[in-house]
Amino acid sequence: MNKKSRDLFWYKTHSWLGLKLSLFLTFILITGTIAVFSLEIDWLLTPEMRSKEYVSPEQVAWGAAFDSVTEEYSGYELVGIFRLHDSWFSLQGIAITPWQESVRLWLDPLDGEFLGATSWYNVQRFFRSMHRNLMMPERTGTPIVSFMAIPLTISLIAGFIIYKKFWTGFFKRPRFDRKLRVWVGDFHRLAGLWISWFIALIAITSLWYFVEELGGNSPPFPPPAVRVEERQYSLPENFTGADLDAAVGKAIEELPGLQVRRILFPSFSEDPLIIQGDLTATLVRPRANGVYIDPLNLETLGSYRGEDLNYHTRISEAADPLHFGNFGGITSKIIWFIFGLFMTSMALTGAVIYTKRLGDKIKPTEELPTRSRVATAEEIQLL
Amino acid sequence: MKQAIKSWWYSMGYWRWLNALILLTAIYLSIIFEAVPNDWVEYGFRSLGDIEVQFSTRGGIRPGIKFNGKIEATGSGSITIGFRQNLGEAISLDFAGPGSQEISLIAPESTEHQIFLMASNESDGLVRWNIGRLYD
Repeated sequence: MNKKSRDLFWYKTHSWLGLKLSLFLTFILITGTIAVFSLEIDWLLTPEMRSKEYVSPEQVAWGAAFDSVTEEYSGYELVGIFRLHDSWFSLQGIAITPWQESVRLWLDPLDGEFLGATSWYNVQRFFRSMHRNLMMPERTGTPIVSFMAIPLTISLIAGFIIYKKFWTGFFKRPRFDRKLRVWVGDFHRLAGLWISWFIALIAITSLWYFVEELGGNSPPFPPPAVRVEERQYSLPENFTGADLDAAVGKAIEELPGLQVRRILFPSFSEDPLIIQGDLTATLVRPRANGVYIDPLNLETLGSYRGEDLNYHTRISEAADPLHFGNFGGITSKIIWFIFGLFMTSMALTGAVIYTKRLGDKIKPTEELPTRSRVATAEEIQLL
Repeated sequence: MKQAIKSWWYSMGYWRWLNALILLTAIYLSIIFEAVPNDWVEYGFRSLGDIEVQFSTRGGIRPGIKFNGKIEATGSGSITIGFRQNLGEAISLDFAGPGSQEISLIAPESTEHQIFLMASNESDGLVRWNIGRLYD
């Protein structure tokens, strides 16, 4: 294959991949971009989610929050209580109603006061489920979405191959005074260069999700070293908020410095109470550091730290923070959102370039010929 | 703009239909999303005179909104069903023998307290099920 036909091959690959699935790709990119701030959108729309004041991790009233939930919604099955990433969020309890509906219960982190109950289906859930699995069952939708990492990766590589001397283009201003096709093409190349690291990051993490869907998911976290004592109910009948506070104290004793983010209540009588949170490992989810507590006698049954997890699990744990951009709080989220917008614009501007180029030949009521036109060398250079 | 969208649409070739199918499916699923399983949830049997009666619901329950319920009885008799909070809207069910009947009930407006469904028979037997506290 000579240089010219090789360039033509990569040009056609780049434009074909970008164009044929451009509607779907644009949809995935825009929902993913909005998903970065979906929790904050919920915060704006839902007064119950807003914490009244800053509460440090050590001050969080886990026990009082537990007492509030069990008093206000005694018939509900409490799945867990969660402290979200940023301090301006209330504590979130997730519970199941007697009619088996998942519901969110909001609690003041300072004194555990019950603030309100809201539906499981919120803005965050909509964008997460839409972006991740197209609202389909996860086993169906997630492979469809994550498969897009493959055309995305190929398109990124092809883009670099066909953009000759791309390293000279980092500071080339788009020629806005020229016609649409020209300045859109300039913008496509310029934005593509600056966000190429971001596209690569999103593509790699999405490839990882695809691998996980094919069976490459990481092994479960280390189990408790000791079995729980036999008991009649999933939580002992007389378990109170004071017991929960004691359990949190034990967890911090076991893993000094643990900033508790998640408390998972047992679903079955042989399950332990699980307390998880942030510790010293970087780029991991809060669940990567955990302590198992026996809810009957509040004995510590075992623990694990992010650093102790095997490489497979560490990679798996790092995928979400890197893909979501939430590892650095609001700052990294803003960066991810802006770059997400640019990435979405790549799909749109790519389609504009292609359609504008063929503009004169398009007959809107007819099918476009897909194979009848071969790009010229000039077009390849323009791309 | 209209022309540009048309051009984009046609430039996808036959693949546009796959794109559209995936998106429309996702949008449809987001509209019908329910955070509650579409199965009957049983609230347990209660003894009402000589028969055992069980109440079940399907789908979500919202204040003041109609929801689906089901009464199963192990024998014959007339049973009156209603919420303690709005007994005026109680309904009567006749069972000629063991069986079940699907009903539509309007949930009480209250979100402050737990709600209880009451069932009574002709001999003034009375049982209840705790449905839990509703939320908006």
